[in-house]
Amino acid sequence: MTTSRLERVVSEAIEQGRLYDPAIEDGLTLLEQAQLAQYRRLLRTIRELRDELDPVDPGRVGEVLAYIDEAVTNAPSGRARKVAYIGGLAVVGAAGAVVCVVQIRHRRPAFAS
Amino acid sequence: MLDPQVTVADFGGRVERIRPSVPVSEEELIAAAQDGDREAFDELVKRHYRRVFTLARRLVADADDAHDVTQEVFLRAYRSLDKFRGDAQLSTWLYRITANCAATHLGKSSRHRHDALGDDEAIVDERPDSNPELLADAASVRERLDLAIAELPPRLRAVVMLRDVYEMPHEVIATELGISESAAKVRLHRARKKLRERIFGQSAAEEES
Repeated sequence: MTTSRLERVVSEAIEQGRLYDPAIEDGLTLLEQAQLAQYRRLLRTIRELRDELDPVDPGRVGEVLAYIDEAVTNAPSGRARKVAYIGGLAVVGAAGAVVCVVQIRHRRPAFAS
Repeated sequence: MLDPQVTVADFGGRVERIRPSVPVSEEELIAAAQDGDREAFDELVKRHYRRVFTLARRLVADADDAHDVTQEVFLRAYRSLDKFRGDAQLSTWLYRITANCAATHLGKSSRHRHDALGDDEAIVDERPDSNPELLADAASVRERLDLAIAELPPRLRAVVMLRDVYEMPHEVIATELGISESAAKVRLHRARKKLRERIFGQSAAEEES
């Protein structure tokens, strides 16, 4: 059994919650059994990290709240964005209409003369 | 006029109203925050800041970067709190956002350096405690684990943290990191193997095989 195959055995055992089941040692060489023991120790130790929290400066929480305040204050609301979008479309549409009217008026004298 | 039951305090440069210490459940705070109660949301930030920061620091390694990621996490949470349905714990939901923000942050960092990091490329850590000789001398498995995690490439570190420490499902890890589920599993195998080898060393028989 190659080392990578041992890793797959370990992964399957972890997924099935059987990492500490002696049955998974069946068929393993002494070296692989030694490596399996290392994986068990590694997994046991790494899971302890979940309960450990980094120390934090209390002022940092205030910075986060201020950051949210600033982002919320500066960002236009959804309604404001919608109004701006519709307003923009209206301006573009009106400008297009004006251009059409001007062009038509410029052409008319040629037909009239 | 403020409620007489409410006191005013300076919290990290912000003046806030603080209600008397009536225990409020997380579910009540979430419901209030979803209804637009900003104070309820702020209380959720205070309760979860340390957990989110710890995960962010484990994913991006640098404390200042972790603080930036944490800010982004809570801003995203504020903007999308109405999408939180309560079928998972709030901390689990925040961890998912943290994983996503950290991945984005690491992606930006690698683009900034103009060289994407491969799975086997570690960010050079020049802290004295990452010295291999010191690593070998570290007394306990736990101390060696801390050093080995710090030396893991960010992409490998992320999957092993999210899976083995925070027990996130593979598909969630894949989604939040923007990779396929099979890639997430391969990275996890490689990360565990690297950690084991770094902590316990490779025996002569192992090197020969």
